Amino acid sequence: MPQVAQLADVQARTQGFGQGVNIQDAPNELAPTEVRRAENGILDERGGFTKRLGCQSQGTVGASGDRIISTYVFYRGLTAPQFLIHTSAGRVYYTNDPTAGTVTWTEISSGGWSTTQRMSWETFNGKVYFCDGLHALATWDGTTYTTIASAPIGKYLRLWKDTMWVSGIPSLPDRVYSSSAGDAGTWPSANWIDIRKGDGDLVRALATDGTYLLVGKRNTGVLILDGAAFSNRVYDYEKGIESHWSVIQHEANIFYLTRRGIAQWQGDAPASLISYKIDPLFDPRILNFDRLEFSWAYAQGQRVSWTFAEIGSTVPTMQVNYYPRLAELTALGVRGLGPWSFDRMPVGCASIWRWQSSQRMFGGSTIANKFYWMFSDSTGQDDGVSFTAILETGAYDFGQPLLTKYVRRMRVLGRGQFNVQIRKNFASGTCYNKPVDLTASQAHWNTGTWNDGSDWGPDANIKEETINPDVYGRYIAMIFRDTDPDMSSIVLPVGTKDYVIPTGQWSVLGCLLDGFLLGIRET
Amino acid sequence: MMPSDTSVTREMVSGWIDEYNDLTDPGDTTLEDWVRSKLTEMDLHEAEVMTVGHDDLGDTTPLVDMILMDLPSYPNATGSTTS
Repeated sequence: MPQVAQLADVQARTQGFGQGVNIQDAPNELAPTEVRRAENGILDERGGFTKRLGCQSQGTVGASGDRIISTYVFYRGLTAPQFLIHTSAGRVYYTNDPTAGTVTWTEISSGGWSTTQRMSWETFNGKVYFCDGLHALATWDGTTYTTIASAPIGKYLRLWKDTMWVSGIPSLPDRVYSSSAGDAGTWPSANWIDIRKGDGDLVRALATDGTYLLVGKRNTGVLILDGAAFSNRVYDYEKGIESHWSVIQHEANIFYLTRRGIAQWQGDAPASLISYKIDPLFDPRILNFDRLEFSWAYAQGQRVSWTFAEIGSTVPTMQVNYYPRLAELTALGVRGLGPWSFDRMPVGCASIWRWQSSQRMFGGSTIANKFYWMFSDSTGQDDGVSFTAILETGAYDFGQPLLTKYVRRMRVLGRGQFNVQIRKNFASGTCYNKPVDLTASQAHWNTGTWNDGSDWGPDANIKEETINPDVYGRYIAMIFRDTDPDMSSIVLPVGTKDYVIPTGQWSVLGCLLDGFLLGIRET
Repeated sequence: MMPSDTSVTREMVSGWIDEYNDLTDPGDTTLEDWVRSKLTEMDLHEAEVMTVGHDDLGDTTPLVDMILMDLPSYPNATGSTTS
């Protein structure tokens, strides 16, 4: 029954969005710094959420139906690195300059490489070695292409302890091979081992932390301790590695995809699952499990990302981002779990290129035969198409879950233009929408007099705007979103100098709500 | 010897397989027989390889067995019956 209570002022403010997405917990149980949705934005600025930059096409490769299915950067010391790609036409190309407006691709080999299996790559002895599980191991030294016909024909390559390792031989699913030390062109005939022979599983990845060689099957992880005697032991009896390309190193950590989610290598111990907050994602009704073996990882800045094909798609349709550095320090001085967010970019594989003063992430398009500069400094669209960035907070009850609230005012702190929406009482629709413009205007410089009331100098990079939602509800969730193609920027103070860093259209840093606590109502 | 110490490389074994495939009349000689004969020529028919790391093998295994168990990995070993 409705009850009248004495009006009471109430204020609440967001406490940052630093703990990222939580889709595991019930919507009413989210921590104040967790969010229900975060897509196409980055959490690099702890507590804030900034729309990501877009993907700029650097031109096409091959025929219109071709897709880039594997990428690699071949570093060559003082010589410019080459960017290598493998396409769904079964061809391998290189370019000496992926930063060119229209990249020129030269074919390394049109030898009928796999049209579906991602290429695996390693650099050793000044050459890049690559294989696809169907054809002879190949090498490229920057000018000459050769094959090593006698090498095992595997899907996965890994360099460990000055030796090349191969696995993923279709007819020998447990077998791992080693080349001669220091020579990936010579393969002793007895230099192999079956890992957990005949267990019904198959090797899906080779990885290394420098000390061990990790052999990932789907259900178990095994490490090889000694590359000469092949001494090995199971380090994880419950989960292995789903995808060879999902293994990524970030600072001191190795992360990879397992059948239970994203895991962090613990060194000769069962890997720790770190994806609790997005666990429901790893469901065959959401992700195309048949394509997990091709999940691809890349690292940029503070985050590591994995590409996934959602159900109904055979190519990646989304990216999952993890921020190891944003993990809170525990009382024991070790990092806890970092936040997560999602992206939806038309990119299925990517590699970071660094040469001289340039560092860029390039990837292969999943929707065209195009090569993309991801997170390009010059576009807020994905190959000319606008995309939506969204951040949805948890449901705030202002500490009074029983009482209805009247939200009178909101003060939004951020950058750029976006829409502020309100969702109340866990409804699927929104009950309020308001465009907010926090865009910095052009700098004011003129020949006027100081202190005459004019605004001088650059406009503020961060602004605040007050809006009046006039909304009643018990649980209030805020949504920030847009599809604006424009860009914005963050002003980064480095001592006495400010650097302007391009970003997507907007950032939201916080929000203050002001209203009344009302009585108990039927809402 | 350690597995990596064997002087018999996959390239050599692949060559033996090619030779076997080129035989116009192998008669009763199987590919396995052919490989054994090649190792005998090299006086390696009694060579043992350390296999302590293998789940299903003893501390050492004859080199010839190691090669025969791996014949399915050679694309040109179409006549192999050993796995």
